[in-house]
Amino acid sequence: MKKFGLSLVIVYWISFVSLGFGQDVRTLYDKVRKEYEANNFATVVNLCKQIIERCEQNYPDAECRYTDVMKNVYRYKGFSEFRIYTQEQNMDQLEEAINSLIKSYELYGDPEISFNYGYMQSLRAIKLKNGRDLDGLVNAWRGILGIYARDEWTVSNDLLNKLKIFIQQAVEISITPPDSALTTGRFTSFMIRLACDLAQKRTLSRDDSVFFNVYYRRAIDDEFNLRGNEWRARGFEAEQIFKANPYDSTYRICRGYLELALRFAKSTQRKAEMLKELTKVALYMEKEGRNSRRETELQYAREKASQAYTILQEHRSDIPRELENEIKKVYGNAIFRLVDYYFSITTSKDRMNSFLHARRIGEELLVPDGQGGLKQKFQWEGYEDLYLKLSDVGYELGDEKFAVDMVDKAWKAVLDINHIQLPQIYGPLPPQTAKELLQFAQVYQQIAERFGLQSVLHWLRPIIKTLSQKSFYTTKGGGY
Amino acid sequence: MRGKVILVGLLLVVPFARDILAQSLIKTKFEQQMVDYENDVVRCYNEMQKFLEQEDRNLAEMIAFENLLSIYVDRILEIYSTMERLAGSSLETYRGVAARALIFRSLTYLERSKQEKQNFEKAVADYKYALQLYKGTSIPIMNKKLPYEVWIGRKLYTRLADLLDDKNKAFNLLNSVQDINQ
Repeated sequence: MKKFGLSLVIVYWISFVSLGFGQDVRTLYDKVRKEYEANNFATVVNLCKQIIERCEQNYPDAECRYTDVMKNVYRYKGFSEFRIYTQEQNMDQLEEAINSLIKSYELYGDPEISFNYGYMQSLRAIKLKNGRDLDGLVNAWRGILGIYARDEWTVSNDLLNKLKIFIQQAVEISITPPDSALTTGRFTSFMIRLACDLAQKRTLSRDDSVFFNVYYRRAIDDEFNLRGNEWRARGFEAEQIFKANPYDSTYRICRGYLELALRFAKSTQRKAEMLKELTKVALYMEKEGRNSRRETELQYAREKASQAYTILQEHRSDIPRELENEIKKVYGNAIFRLVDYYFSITTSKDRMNSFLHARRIGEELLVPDGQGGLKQKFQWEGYEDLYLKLSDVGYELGDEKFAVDMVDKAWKAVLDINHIQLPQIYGPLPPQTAKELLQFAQVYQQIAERFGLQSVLHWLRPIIKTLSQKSFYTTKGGGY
Repeated sequence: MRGKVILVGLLLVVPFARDILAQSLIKTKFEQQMVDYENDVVRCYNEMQKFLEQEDRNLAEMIAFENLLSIYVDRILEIYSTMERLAGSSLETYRGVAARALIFRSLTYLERSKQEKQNFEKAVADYKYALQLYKGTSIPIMNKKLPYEVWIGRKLYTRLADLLDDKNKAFNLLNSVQDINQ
């Protein structure tokens, strides 16, 4: 029993010595360096703790007074704790690493250390979704300025890389957490501009130049709204991915980003742009998406487009012409496709209800034309098709006035779009145009026949005959 | 013989001339950096002012701006003390840069002085130090024309005195400096 007790003491003593207890600071410090180089981070942390403990005793070793030794002890400890954190993802380790590096910085003021613990503080803010914690950015920037001064005010490759890391973290913090606004993003936006300006002080490669220019633009666009700009950029990127892979998952991600960009938009132009983009992706999902819920997507598109159009009406002077045209196009398209959807899903059971529904949707874009009829609020690319579809709806509903009004508007619209006066139909006509006009004329004829409009039929007959011949020649030989 | 004398003379003079030239280059570099950092201080201050006018949820960002501006001012003071050691305390240009930077930091601290009492103490200390730096000059620092424009909202400031008056903070600061002196 005694022998067992003695051997236990010996084993304990050996392990005690092997871990470094009882050794002087110099020996421990040499071990720390060796273990750090050998990537034994847990051992490094352990040895550093022993050095710190020894230095806190009443009669510490001489090395404890050497700044050069102690700043390195905390540095090795901090970096090792950070390496352990990257493996274990334990936030306590990250906290320890930050504290160690702060201590090292307090002892010596090495700018590299300031940058590193600033980086870790920002990382902690991002992980804990605390976008209000901007200390990391400030400390990292102190480090960057220190490195810049240390290198005699030149931007080295290493500093350039640090600037990139800094910018990416600033962006990430400005959108942390994703679903709320803890800060305005103005500070992060300012920091990015400072970082880009510093990078521009040296000659940049093409890729680097693009990188810094892009982030500078993102920082200054939309009244320096980095948060909104970043979601917009991510939204557009996600839109490309979604178009290549139109699944529900990619659609959700893309729509989520664009909705956040809309939420954090500051200018009316940006709001209108994001609403237009949301309409576009919903329409794309409806048309190309796998297992899309057609009605839901179309209703969503209609709603967003309608909001964009309201902004357009209220702040027309803030919206550029190209965006105005795009908003009108997507709004018109959303309404057309929804009308078409209700028109095409009719079953014998609720036919009339579906037609009425389609008509009500279509009427959203109609206003009185001042001559007892209705016209669309605005012209958009494809507005003639909506008139034609609504005339079909009127036909099915048996509403003579509505059907005739719509088909007449459709006919005039298609002539107008093709820049054709009625007499020109009898002259030379491009074959494709003839074919398109024929489709409209035939619907017109159908409606006239149903409602017994003899004079219209009389007027239409020669037109249809001519158009048929011209489009027939198209398919036969291509001439006219 | 004359050639030898010239050669010996050159050998004696060149090392000193090289040192003087190097020192002059360092001074120019330092001066350039002080000016650059001062521009950053003003940029930072301007940015913070825009932000104060527009937003409510600003505490975290206010503190961040305050800390950022402080980093730049510390750097200016660091260079200033180096310059002082190199060239003595007679350099009005450097003192001007340091004093202006301190006043901007003082104004920045004042923005949060109601919430944080320490900020007022810091502001007073900076203000006092700035006045000390510029003591005995022909035109007081507050009335001297600024070498750059300071825009706050749509208003342009060209003198620190106007900026202080407009922000209605001069009275408080002056009073506190008097208290400290007493």
